[in-house]
Amino acid sequence: MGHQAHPAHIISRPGLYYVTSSRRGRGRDRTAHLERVLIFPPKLLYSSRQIDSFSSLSLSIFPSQLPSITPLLSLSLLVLLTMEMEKLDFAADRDRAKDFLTNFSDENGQPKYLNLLQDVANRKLRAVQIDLDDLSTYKGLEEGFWERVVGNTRRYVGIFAEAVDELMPEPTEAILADEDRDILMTQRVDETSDSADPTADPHQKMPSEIKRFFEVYIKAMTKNSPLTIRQVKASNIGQLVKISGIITRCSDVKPLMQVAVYTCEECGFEIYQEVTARVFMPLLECPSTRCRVNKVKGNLILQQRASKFLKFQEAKIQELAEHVPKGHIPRSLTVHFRGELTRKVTPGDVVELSGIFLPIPYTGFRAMRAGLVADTYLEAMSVTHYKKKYSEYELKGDEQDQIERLAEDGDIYNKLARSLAPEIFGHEDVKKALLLLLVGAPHRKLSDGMKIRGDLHICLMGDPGVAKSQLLKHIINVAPRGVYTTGRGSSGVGLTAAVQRDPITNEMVLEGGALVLSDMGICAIDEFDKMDESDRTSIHEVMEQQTVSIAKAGITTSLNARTAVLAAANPAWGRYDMRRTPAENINLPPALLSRFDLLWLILDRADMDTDLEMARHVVHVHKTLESPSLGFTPLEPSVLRAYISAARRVMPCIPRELEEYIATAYASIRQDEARSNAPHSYTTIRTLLSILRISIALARLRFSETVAQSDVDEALRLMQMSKYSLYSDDRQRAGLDAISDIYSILRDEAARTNRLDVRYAHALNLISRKGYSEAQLKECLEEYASLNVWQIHPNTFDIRFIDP
Amino acid sequence: MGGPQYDLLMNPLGAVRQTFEKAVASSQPSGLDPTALYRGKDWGIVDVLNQFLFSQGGLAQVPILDASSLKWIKPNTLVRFRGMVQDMLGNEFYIGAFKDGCTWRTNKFLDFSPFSVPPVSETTLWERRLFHCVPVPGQNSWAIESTPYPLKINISNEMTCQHGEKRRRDDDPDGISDFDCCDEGSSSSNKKQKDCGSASHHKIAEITNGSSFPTNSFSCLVKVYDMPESQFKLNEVVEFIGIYTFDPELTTSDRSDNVDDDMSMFDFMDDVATHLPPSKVPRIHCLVSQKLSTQDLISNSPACEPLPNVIRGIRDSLVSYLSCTLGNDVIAAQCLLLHLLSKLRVKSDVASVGQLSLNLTGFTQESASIFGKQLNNAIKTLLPYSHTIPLTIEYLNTAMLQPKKDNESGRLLMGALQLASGTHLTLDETVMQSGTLNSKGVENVLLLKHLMEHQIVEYDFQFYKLEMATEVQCLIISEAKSNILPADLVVPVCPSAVAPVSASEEQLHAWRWYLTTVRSLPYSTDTSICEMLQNEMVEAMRKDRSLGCSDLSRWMTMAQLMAASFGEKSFSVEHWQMVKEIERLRKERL
Repeated sequence: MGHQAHPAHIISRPGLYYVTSSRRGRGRDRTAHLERVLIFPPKLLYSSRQIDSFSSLSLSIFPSQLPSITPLLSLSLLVLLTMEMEKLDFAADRDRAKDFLTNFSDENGQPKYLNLLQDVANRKLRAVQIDLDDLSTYKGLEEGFWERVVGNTRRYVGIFAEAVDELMPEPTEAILADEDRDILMTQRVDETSDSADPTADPHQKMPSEIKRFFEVYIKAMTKNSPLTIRQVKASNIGQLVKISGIITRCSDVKPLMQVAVYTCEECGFEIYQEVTARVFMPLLECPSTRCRVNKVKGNLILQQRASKFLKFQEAKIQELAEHVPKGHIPRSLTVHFRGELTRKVTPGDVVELSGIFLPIPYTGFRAMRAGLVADTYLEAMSVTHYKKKYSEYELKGDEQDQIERLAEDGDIYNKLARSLAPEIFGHEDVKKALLLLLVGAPHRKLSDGMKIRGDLHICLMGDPGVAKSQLLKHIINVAPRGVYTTGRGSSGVGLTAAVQRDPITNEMVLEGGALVLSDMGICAIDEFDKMDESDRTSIHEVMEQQTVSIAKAGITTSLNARTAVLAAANPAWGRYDMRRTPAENINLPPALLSRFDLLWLILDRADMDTDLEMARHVVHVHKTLESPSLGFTPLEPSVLRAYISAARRVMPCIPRELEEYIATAYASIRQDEARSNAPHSYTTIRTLLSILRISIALARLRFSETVAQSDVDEALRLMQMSKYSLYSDDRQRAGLDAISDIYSILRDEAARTNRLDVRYAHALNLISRKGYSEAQLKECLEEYASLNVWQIHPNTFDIRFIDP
Repeated sequence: MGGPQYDLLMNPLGAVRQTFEKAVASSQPSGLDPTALYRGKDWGIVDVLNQFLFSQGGLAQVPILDASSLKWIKPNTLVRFRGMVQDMLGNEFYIGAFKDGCTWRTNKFLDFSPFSVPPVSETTLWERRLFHCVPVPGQNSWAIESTPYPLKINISNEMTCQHGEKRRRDDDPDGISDFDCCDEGSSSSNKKQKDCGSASHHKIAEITNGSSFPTNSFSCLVKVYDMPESQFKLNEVVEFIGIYTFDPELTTSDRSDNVDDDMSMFDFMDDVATHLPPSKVPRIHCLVSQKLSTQDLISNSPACEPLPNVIRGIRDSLVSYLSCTLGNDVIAAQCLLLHLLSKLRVKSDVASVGQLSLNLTGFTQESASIFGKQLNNAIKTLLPYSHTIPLTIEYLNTAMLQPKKDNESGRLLMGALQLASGTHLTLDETVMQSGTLNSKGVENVLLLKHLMEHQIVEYDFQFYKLEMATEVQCLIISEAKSNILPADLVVPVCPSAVAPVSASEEQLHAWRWYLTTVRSLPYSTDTSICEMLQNEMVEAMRKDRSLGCSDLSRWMTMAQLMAASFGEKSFSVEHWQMVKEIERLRKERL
């Protein structure tokens, strides 16, 4: 392959190497090109894209007049030149782009991009974002066009910009003039029309960039899932890729010169120089025809105001923890943001980026040191923040289908509950309660401005080592927004909020604690009983009013803390003391306890069955080196999250006919309590609200707009179970076994309704509210039937008392 | 292929070039683009090398690169390096092949192109992986010595005198006048190394006694080619055989660092390698690599199958040695043996199986100084990697235990708990005084606790924590049962006599072999014994209500380890009874 050079332009000026190119078109599909060439005299050459594809280009270097390096430029020996490109392929593609922009219409039949361009012309918008989604659905394009755009995005951004240039409509509204720029533009337009000289120096020709008031971005397909950083390979160079990650560092926004504009002292011409790299070599002598003919070395002065600058920002993006394979550490990648995309990210943001993966050569001495190595970066094209709130949760791909399938399944309530912390054995009712905590009920704002919270608060109390903390951590994992903290662990700011003195500015600043940070989410507080006294008082407000009020150091304010509190606490003496009353064991004031919708006591009780279960489990784990199978496949946390977020959109209401039912239920709980000789539970009006909240959450799980009676029954059952976990010992002490208790319940019910028969379904409802199982009911029915107390219907199991 | 025409030891790059040219020539007729063909693929050099190393016994001639040999090993020669993968620096894109005139040339295994300027030409971009490797933290001197140094003495005698001239001669053609500066750098570091030279082993041993590892003594940037993504994991111990490169030209440009940084607009573009200047961190272009297990560190291990009576003999002598170090306390020695043999086998969500952390209590400050030291020495001579952390308030408040990512430099900063798997960690609580822990201290304690309970260390990545599974045996020495760090097994030590401990080199060797071999034996549990176990456990739980899941789990682990200590694969009733006996005696002491 002889390297014949056909220089397109020969411009001799000291200080520069000339790079020119000629293409030998070997096939029409060759999209290879060079936008710019950087040359470090001693070392290497890179292109901005696919170094592989150099084969279609031949280049020649004229190291003419090697300069004495001017002090200004001692930084690098870099030379940069725009290359003359074969426009053939691209001219056709530009027409295709134009056709697409003109004729594409969105689902409403509106010409999406023409409207967009009108906004740009009216200076309402700067960014022209071209969605690849649109491009792929648009019918009028030839096959390969889409692939070419994805594979060589940098170039096609330029092509689309040219297309937009040609299509740009006249402004339809009076525009806010950017004075400097517009005055300059009118002047320029006048001048260029004067000297429409085809042989004019390319540096005198106004680059289209300077005229543009818009930036073109190409956004990757939304339906493809993003790559992780380690999946971006050398083969992706030059392509549009979509990645997700967390921003770890951000630079300041700096101006980046896009077009340098000079005026010549001698001839007065305006000279333009396009800058496409980070470093450029300023022009020193006027290249205009007049100066050349007159053989004057016209002195060029850089015009700051006339030049065009772009906002520029750099950032580092790192892989998310869940994308890192075991035993590896996260990778990171440099991202460049330009123009409208700057200031979109801050460190700590979890984002999805689409951008062009490009190599960047080291320059200057760094190049020598780094030798053959090219660093890479991502030229950002779009930024999407991951939503962390339920209300903003977007369903991905087939999640909608999955949710629908799950919703059709009747047993969704049990299924979801079991999938919470599947590795923790048992505790079904606790898990059900936690599921309801995740779902919650809607907030109510009454007409008089009073707010009623919808978040459920749950307190788990129990012996050490009953997996309370694991449950808490798992819930935080499932919740899209959750904070895990310990009563003592959060220092300084504490749980609520604190006024602190900023060490640098010496000003007082307000800092939110865990409860404030988990606004609209879940706050899991471990070691709740060991909380600071100051936090404990302020948590009262958080749990009912859902705000944190601060009046310190001249700052008086109220912060939102609309959070569901999930607390875990140890009993007063570390372990639950059976000899003492529950009230003594629970080391929390009644005022705080009453704020919890459900209070659960998980005791490490020992009996033969659980002992054997434990022994079997241990032996199994040691033998097979894996946990015993669960007997079901738990749902993935992501599916849980999607389902819950869908459920949270439902706003169920309570039908009028249920009001009576709920009221009676509440009244009977109050009565029970009054009757018992040691009232240690605190049934207040808050209890009634809790019943409503739990019922609504249950209705939400069914995607139902109205609360059904079964929801209320289940709510009552849960409340009863939670109480049962606390007071079951009393019952046994009172000598009342389960069977006789069920009998008395049914007897009472029959007496209340003044009838002799109780329907089986109704009986089941009644006893399950009190925390008994169906098996116990059956046992009771059989036992008392044999005593001829009642008759049981052989098919329906309905009960009929035999009149004494 | 015929024999290699090049001296693979001294000029491996010659072989690289030769094989590449051959490969390109052979692919020529097919008309395929040779660079596309060999992107991310080996073209035969590895085969040539493998043959040389493993069939022709070349391996023994390859010098080992470490702090002391760095000064005499010539650049661009074949070296071996054993180290732990401390940081993964991601991928590097480099110009893999380019066309020089009509011939293809490759830059694989090079930092720097030997051809002055490849004229603007056809080039292809290839990928390689960068690992930052350090000598294994806490490696004990015997494990270092045991690595065969066949030619070390000869070569070093020969080479050190030649070395100065050789280098200079090599560099002269390049006309680098400021060679002195880089020489200065390396010679000053050499001096340092010379100072500690012979004492370096002791130094490591001493430092492990103290607070931190010699982290900045020596490290290596390994560039690995053509490797599947998940080949090496963090903290794995790997042996690399590759080309050591050192280019003075690159080093000299270090001097211009300041200038470079002044003009640099590429704030974020700096690659991590700039923080590891080649003058301090040698580069190795890896050709052949292999993960090392502790077994590989035992030189010329007895090739025989572990025979039961041989194992039993070694076991008995080891127990008596251990009981000697603990003042003739056989129970504690038995427990210690089980602890030394323990190995994390599986980690499920709820429980980790197989680990047995040990808390030896009953030490006073005085007895700890005697027995603690003896114990430490014993562990150091028996296990390849060990590390001691003195739990003082001051240490906990100041030490960096947690490995942390520095997002400014892009490096993972090594914490004291970044350990290779199989490392033994001794936590000395006897030195603890009363005092206040600051927030860092609390964090460090939680980290240690988490490590003991779940064998997990959380690495700090600033915006999130990443859990890294580790495998570290933890031994706690304390006055009373440690409440800060929950050990699986608590054994009060009752020393009766202070006996001088001694062991012959052969005995030590046999014990090392025994420990590593037994640890790597597979386990299994008979189904027949399960029923009996379950019943016994239920019975025991009825008698003692305080027994929990962790106790049962511990018994199982101990029974299995007991069986393993006799070289058996699965445990029998006999082993179970032994464990129960130990438990009974242990209970009496509590």
